[in-house]
Amino acid sequence: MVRVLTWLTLATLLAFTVPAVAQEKRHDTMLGVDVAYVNASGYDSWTGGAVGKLRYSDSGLKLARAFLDYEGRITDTVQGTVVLEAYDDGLGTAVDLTESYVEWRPVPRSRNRYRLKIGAFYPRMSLENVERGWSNPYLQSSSAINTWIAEEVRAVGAELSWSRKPASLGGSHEFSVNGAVFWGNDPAGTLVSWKGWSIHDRQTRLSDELPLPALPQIGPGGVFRRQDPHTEPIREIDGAAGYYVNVEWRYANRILDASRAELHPSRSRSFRLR
Amino acid sequence: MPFRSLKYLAMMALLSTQSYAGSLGIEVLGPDGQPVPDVAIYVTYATPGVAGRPGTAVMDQVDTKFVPHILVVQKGTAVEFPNSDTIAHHVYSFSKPNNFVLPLYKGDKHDPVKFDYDGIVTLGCNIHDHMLAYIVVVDTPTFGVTDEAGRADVTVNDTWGQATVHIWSPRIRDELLSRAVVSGSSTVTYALEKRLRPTHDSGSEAVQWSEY
Repeated sequence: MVRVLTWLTLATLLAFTVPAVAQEKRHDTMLGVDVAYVNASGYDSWTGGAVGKLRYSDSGLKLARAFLDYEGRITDTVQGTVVLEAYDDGLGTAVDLTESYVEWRPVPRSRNRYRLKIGAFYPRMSLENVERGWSNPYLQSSSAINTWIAEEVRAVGAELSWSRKPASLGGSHEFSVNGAVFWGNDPAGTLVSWKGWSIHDRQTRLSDELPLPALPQIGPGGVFRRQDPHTEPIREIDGAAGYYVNVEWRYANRILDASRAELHPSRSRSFRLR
Repeated sequence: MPFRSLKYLAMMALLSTQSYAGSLGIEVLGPDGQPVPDVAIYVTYATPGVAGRPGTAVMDQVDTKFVPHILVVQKGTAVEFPNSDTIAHHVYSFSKPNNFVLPLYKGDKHDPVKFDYDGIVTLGCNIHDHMLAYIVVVDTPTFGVTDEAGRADVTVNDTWGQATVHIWSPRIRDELLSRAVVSGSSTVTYALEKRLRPTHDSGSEAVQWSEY
């Protein structure tokens, strides 16, 4: 299907930090600009409503992304984060939010550690996109699973994390439980259902509208006549909260992790094709 | 040669008649025979409440790591926590009764923390969850930390009675880690039997997702 893909990165992530003015660094802003030379061949890109898996249909020098990641300290234990991404592909406004949240990290008084996040954020599930701006420090494009998360997954709600290092098992063991109640992500899975997995570096912003492939099955006259030709992944539809729970056991660099997520808990068993 | 042997014998005789005083090397080897660095070493004496003047010590923060990873200090020592990073840290310990919190800071702006109780003080940073260090507060002026060769040299004072060596590391699972110093010996070797726990930094930075 996709025959040849060559990514030649001319300049990756020209990131710089604006120096702190205040003595205590309460504000921390990072600007990133990513310019890439792309040589793509294959089907036309899904970003133009086709079925191609890549982000670009043509070759040339591209402004792959520009982002601003701001962290502001409200108190010693409360921090606000705002991440803006800019794209010129017309799938939304030029500049929009990818994440915006407040996190409370109380100082541990025991081996239990708690974190509370409120706002719009990526669920805590990535070992890959660990840099600011949900950037991937390893590769230009994210893995297929993380590309999908960037495309269609975002929680708008609250996430509580609890972790503990049991002394009885030695300090190297760590147990964590993360749980969230969230809204605003009902169409998740729509895009991947129609176009399949992709490999790229575009992150959906909160009000982006992404095209589905122009297939005859979609829309009037098609089998899925009620399916819109586009999806807004970070949109609330039924007003009901979804949840995810994630349990993790970590020992040195080994991780065992189990997660469950439901977008429409009350409807998950009654889905029917009409 | 006979002359040299004689001299050697005379030296040995001299050493054995004197009670032991001076340098004592402590060596820690893992079950695989490899040296174990970063092990806290301290020597206690039969005489209770031995004298000593607790001084100051430094636990720095460099590249979002505590330096050193293991710091041994005498009870009553004031430990400074400078921050050599360009980002702020928020250092705390919940190890009672030595627990403390240094509000978020950069540079060198806090008064030193005085540790008045002996015991293990586990340090963390509330901003950077992977930061971990230990301050081992001991009630003796004789202490050290093993180097890359798994060795630490301390000066033992024999006027304070029978000396006993103790070692501590979060990696060690062996029990009975106290050894009485035999008069005349210059080295105490610990050959650990149980497999060591992994080092703190053996989990690569890639798995530190708690901060993204």
